[in-house]
Amino acid sequence: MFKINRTLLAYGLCVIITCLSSCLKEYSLPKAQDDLIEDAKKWYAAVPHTTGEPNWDQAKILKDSSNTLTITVSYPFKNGLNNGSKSIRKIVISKTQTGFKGHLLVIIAEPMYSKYHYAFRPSNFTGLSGRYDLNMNFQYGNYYVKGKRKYSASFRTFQNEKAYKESAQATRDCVYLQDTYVDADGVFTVYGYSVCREDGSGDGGGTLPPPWDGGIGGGGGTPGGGPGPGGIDDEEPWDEDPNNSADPEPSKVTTLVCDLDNPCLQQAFDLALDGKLTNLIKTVVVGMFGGNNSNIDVIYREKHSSAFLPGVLGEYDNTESHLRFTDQLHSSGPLVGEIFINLNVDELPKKPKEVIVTTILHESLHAYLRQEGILFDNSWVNQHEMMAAQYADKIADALQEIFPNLSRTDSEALGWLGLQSTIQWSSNMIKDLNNKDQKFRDFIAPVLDYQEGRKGTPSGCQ
Amino acid sequence: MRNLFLVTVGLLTISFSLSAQMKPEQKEWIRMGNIVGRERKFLQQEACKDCSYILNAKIFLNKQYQADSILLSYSAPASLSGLPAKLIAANINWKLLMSKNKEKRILILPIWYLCERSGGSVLFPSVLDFERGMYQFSDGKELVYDESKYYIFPQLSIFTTAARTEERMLLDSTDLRLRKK
Repeated sequence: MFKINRTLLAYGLCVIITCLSSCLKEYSLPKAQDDLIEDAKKWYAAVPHTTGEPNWDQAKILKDSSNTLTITVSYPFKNGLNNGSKSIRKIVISKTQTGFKGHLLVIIAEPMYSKYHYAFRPSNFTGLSGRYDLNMNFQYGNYYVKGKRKYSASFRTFQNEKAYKESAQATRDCVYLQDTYVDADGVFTVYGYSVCREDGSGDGGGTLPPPWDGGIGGGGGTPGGGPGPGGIDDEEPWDEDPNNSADPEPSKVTTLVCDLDNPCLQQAFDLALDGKLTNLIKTVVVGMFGGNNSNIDVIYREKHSSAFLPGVLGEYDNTESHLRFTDQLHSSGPLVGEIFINLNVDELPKKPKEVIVTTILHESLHAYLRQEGILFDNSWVNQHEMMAAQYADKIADALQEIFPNLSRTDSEALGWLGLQSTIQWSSNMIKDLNNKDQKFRDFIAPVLDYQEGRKGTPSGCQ
Repeated sequence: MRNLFLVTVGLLTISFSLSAQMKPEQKEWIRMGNIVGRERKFLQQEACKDCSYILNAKIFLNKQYQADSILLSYSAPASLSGLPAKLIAANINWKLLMSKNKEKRILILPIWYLCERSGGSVLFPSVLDFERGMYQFSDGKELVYDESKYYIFPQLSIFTTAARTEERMLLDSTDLRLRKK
């Protein structure tokens, strides 16, 4: 009996040891991550640095393609930037074979990019990015346009604003774009880039990796979570705005992405979806697609005429747009995903501003109606029929708010732009025929004047 | 002057009003869904450009819950061959997406690309996709929806359209031809 008990005991011990061993393996990685962050923290405390104390609770571990582990710790600006720019500032510590090394990563988006992108994305980023060492010595920086390096950037620090203003005028003449930042202890730093130095043609620091290389990644990861991929095209949310900042124009438009280069299209986009507008279309579109927590993106972009059927000024892209249910578990709720709106960059900018804005409103409504589950090509109940029945007058209201001098007659006519294939259009024409008048034809006639440029505000683009 | 400058900096800095914060798993669903959804454009390389496709993705996780490999069922069209690598590279936090039974290491993600055709109909390229293709994988194992073996995600339906989304917008004389003279 005793012998049997000893065998059982030995067996039981084996089972326990096996279980313990398995459990240790299971949790070895998270412990290793904690240790790595702890080691990095000790190293940071030991090396000379003038960067302040970051929030180590928010430390993230990234792993690049060569399996180098990098710890990034958020170190946001304390006083924000002028021009409404959004930024990301991180202390980046890499573990190499010889030990740790670190730098400060700074990313500053152009105000327009900040306005329409809720996060930094390397592939389309427009703005400045640079690196400092941990003693705030500037290393290198670049200015990017749509993800491509355009110019080398120079970040200069002054003792105060007065010193900046008194700096050599010749130097300042070269600054093509600049943004400024005042930090907590009164140092005045100008983030800018100089066109005159290389006129955009030289390589400058172009052979160096993008400053964010190895420091951005795992956009969906959680603080202290597993190693992210650290590269490719990960999104990185902007740093939180400082608590002491005020917003003269609160805006929720963050997931309406303006990928438009043409100045007339850009201006019309801003006019159509301006944060101050109160009309129904702007409210509905921005309310649905804007906001940090909106989970549907609408991307407005340019395409050449060859991508459109003749006479089409803009369209909902049926190749790349995709939607799915919000509530995946129950296959229910509104639809979410990405919607691409293509604008005809060859034809639309030539039209009067009123026509460009109408087209943007019309296409924005397509995005809204599709998200609501309305199909494009159904008989009777489809998007254009719904626009004719319920939204033509809402477009007119929006146009009158955007262009206060536009008459009600003209704005109501423009509300019907692009709806001539609807049953309701035909029905109105038949009514004219039956009534032996041309009421609808007269009603719609201003559209011809606007599209031919006989009426309206010239866009200034050809 | 300095105070004025500070006030200006403060006034010009945008602070976005945040509504209720999204849960981390919701954000991860969106990230994963967008990666799958973006493959929609590659489906245009198929001979049938307005077809809908059904498939299952079999996701093998390692001990750290990272996807080691992903197999697509035989019903997946060739143009989706890049999807597994993209999902792996995206380092999706699969554990976060598993609402229960987080110990499972093989996950099944049913994916439907549903494309609206003219009139609102859908067209599938082959009935065999429903009969066998969506249950067969290159590892030779026939998929049975067995929750004791796999973690089975709810179906991810990607809605797309092949419909003409815009007619001619500019007016011409034909649009006004019913005019009574």
